[in-house]
Amino acid sequence: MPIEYEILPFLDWLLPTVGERYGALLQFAASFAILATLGLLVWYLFAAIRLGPSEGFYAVAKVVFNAFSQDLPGFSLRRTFALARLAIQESVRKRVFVAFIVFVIVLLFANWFLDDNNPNPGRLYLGLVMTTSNYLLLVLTLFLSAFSLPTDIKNRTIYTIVTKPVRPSEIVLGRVIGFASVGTAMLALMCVTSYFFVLRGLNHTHEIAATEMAPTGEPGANSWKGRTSFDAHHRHEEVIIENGQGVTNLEMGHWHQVTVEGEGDQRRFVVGPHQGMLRARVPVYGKLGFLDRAGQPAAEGISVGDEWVYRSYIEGKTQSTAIWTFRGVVEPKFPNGLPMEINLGVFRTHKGNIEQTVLGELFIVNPNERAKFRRSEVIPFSSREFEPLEMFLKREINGVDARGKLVPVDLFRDLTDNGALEIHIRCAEPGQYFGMAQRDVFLKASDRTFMMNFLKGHISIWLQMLMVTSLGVMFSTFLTGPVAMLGTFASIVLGYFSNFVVKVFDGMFQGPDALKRFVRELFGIPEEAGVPGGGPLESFVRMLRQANQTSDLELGIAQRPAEYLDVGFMLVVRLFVQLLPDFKKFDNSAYVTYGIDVEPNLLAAQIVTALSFVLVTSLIGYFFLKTRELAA
Amino acid sequence: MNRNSSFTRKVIYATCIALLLYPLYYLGQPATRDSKGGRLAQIRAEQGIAQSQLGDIDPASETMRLATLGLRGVAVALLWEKANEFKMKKDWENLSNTVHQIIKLQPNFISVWEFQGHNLAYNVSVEFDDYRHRYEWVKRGTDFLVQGSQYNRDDPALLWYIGWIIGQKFGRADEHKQFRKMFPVDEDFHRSLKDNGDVAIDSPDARGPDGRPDNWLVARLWFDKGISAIRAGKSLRRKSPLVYYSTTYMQRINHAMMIEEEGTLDEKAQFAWQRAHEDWNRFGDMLVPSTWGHNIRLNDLTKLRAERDEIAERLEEFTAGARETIQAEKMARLTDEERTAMDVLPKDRTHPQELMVEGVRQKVFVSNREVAERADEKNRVRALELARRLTDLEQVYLVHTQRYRDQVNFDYWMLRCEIEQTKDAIEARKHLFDAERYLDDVNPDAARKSFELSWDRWAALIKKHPEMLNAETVANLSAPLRKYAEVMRQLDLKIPEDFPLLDVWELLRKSQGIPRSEIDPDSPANRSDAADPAAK
Repeated sequence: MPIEYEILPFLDWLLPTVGERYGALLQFAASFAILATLGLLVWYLFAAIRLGPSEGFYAVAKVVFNAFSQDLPGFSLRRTFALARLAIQESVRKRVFVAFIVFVIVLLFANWFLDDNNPNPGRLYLGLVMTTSNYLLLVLTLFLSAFSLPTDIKNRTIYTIVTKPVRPSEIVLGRVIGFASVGTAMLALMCVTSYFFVLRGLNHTHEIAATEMAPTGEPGANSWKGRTSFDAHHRHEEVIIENGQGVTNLEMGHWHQVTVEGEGDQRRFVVGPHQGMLRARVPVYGKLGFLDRAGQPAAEGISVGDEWVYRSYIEGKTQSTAIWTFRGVVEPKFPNGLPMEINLGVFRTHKGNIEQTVLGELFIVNPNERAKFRRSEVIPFSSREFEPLEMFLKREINGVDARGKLVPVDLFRDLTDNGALEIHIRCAEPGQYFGMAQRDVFLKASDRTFMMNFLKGHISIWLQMLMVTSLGVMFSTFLTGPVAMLGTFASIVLGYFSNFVVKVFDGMFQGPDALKRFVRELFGIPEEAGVPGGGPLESFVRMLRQANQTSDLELGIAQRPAEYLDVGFMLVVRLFVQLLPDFKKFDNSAYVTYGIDVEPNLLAAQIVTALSFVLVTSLIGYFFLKTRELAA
Repeated sequence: MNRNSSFTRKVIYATCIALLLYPLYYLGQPATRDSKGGRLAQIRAEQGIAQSQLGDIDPASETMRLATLGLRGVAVALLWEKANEFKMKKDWENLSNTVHQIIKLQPNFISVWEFQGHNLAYNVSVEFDDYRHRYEWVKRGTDFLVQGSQYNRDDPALLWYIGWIIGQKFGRADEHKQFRKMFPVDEDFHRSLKDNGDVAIDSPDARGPDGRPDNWLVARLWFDKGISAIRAGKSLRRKSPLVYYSTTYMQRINHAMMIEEEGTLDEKAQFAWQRAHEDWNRFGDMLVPSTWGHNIRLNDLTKLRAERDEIAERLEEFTAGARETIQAEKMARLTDEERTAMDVLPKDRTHPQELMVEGVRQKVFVSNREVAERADEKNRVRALELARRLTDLEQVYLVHTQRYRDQVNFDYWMLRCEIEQTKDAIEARKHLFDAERYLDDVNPDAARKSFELSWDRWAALIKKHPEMLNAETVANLSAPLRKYAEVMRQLDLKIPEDFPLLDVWELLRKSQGIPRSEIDPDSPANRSDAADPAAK
């Protein structure tokens, strides 16, 4: 499963590392400090314009002081939950459960829209339910949270609340909790429905007619070879049974176990349920390093011209090697050996023998240079592209001694160094290449249950829902309903496309122009980064003129003003995007669809980020509501 | 504003709404089984663009299009972006699904089907290292296009593309050897093509020498379906009719060539070439709309030439030597400078002289009309008619027909079909096939003997059909000839003096720029060099 960003251990992510990174805690604190300072400054400016400099200062200071001296100590969870209950009642009155009905209708008619012939229906179904849940829930909470407070203010029903001893913080937090509870209930329903939909949708079996199976091996060996029937848009062309037990080939992302029952005329070949589509593998990732063709350490492998640079390549039949260094490889975790999974890219520079896949070789190396056995025997393998290659490195393995002889060794005792070991992979054929990325090779700890992983995937949706709720409530404290809704929607879109926004911004400052060079240096924008085409105004002009992204605009005297407008606009958007969370990084559906357990480090980081975001937006909402004149 | 005026306004509005219902009904009434529907529905039916006339109606597609609320273009643009991103990231499942969504929103855009079908069958398939996976994705591309043909019934462009992929991709790709083994036994795929595409894949027309469907012949069924659609009035859009028809009738030729390459060198191969010949003749008899506004029949060349000769004779009868007389008169009017330029040898002319000579050619050209005008008064009208027809034949029909024949190499393939079905040709190829096998078994002696048996047969064929001695034949025999040369070198032998394909050999050597010494320093061709200063 390709993941293009690094996932650090939680504490490494949270806390600063000297000389390497600031850590999330410091970044959040810095962002909060900058935001607070700027916020106070802007607030003071507005207050000063309205009331004069000293009155303005007094007004701001009073609110801030009261926030910490009265509102914070006087904060009541009881009142907050009461308001939350009101928010829930309001949502139920608005018939929010219609969204669930829409969800069910989408699932009922999903088969109409889905690709029957998809090479991996498991991923398709899982992707469908998670994406549908995600989008529906976000839209629901968007409308709920953005319109609630402005409607109350417009209808004057807010007075029934503010006239009671209720603090603005309780109003804001109460709504956030209330709408989040509604969203949670909806998500729970969707999660359960999705789970059974997926199970039911993927459920299928095959039959094996006796005529489709031919005996193999010696008579009486109960070994067979054949194929299954054509069901659910596919058949398994290879069924291999030995001693009464067998397995089909991998087709459409799954396989089946096959058993032989009975004998003679009563013999039946029974195909079990599908396996491999609904899994939660627990990967243990290592750190990837490379050796170049001369055997020297290299930062990365070779580029073969692929547009997507996720993988880099090693050359076959040279000293070019990909090395994964694993830690924590201990006997209790892997009692019998090392189950591992390899996902490689293959690049051929010549056809070779196309009836055979490109051969590779693998060996284990002890990181300790003074170890008695430095490495294991070479284990050949046939590469598989776009399909996981599962290998099991037995505990009893042959190692290479100082004289180069093969000697039986124990993997844990002789080839690891305090739980660390290296796995070296090479391509064995000249002129062919293997492509790999950090997460392409991993050790498999025991599988977790698919159900738990499915749930964890929905937790990420829940976190997104929480952030959207808090954003919506925040905007609704100072904007009208439709504007708050637009603002929240824009935040979601920017959150999803933050990478693209950064690329557009970076692309606007490419070129030899002195000013552009200055901005590049100021923001640390690399050369030739970003996408061409300019900002929204320039893009609009290009669309009208049907000009491509790289041609000169030739606007004459309007060129500069247009550029400056774009720069100004994009600067604001760029800074705003910096404050928003990257919603794409909250999307854990890939883990669920690819059958990889959601990493606890990732989930923890997401939870901390989301809660921090909710805290900050609630705080902003509190101050806006506090200073708002509701009677106006 | 009082209640009366409000009520009056409401009455007026209601009346207007009621009145507007009539034109709305007249324009927008949908067609049903019992009625032609409103004006718009009738226009759609006349133009053949009603949804039901285009192809199958898919409720999912209609629902999705409605659900976009007029933003179908935006949705489609986003989906295309996603598809490109998934392709870049080699996420084939999501690519397949996204493409599926795109065509739900654009079911009647032929170019979308063509583009994505090609994308799946060609671009995505080659990303896989295992040929079996490549085969699966070529099938996916084909299935995709077959699905497109259901949404766009009898669209010649789609039908052509399906035939093209089944023929070319399965039959000529790098993996064609493997694909051609997998295709005939892929019953699930055959069933899918038959059920969804309504082609007679189990008919004898689709079966190869092993009795199973052959990809080239199945492709031909699809092309044929396209031709039927064209005959029924469907537009070819931007496709050339000549290319369309020639591709159709090349399939049997491709099939025959391929089965020989695979070792079927007996009466089955002969039969295949016979059928190919019949098909090519059928192509020659077809009326092909040309870009010049008239139809062309490729087989008519001989007939047109005969007609031209006959008319020229009859014109000559009416005009009796007028052509020569007119030419002499025109020559007499040339200037001295022009005469001088004409006298200079072509290789010695300067550029101005070249231009002058070109001008002189146009000046002294005698048109048929000029000849006809010299006829007697009583025959002049008839002579002028003959002259007009003769000019049309010489400058239009003959030229265009020959040009179209040249475009598709019609003569070469006709000759090839005629020759390949002969026993000599089959034997020649059989010996070549044996020679290749002996080479694979590292048995150069046996390979040499087989090669030489083959050359004898080829020589006999060339003697019977001297027109065979051309660039295409040389290209065809180039690889075996070079292998033979290599075998001779390995055996330390010289190419015999009476090498039966010496002419072909020389043509090959010259066409590929092979120096004499590289082939055989002692070859008869080399020995003749000493007497040939031009060769030096």
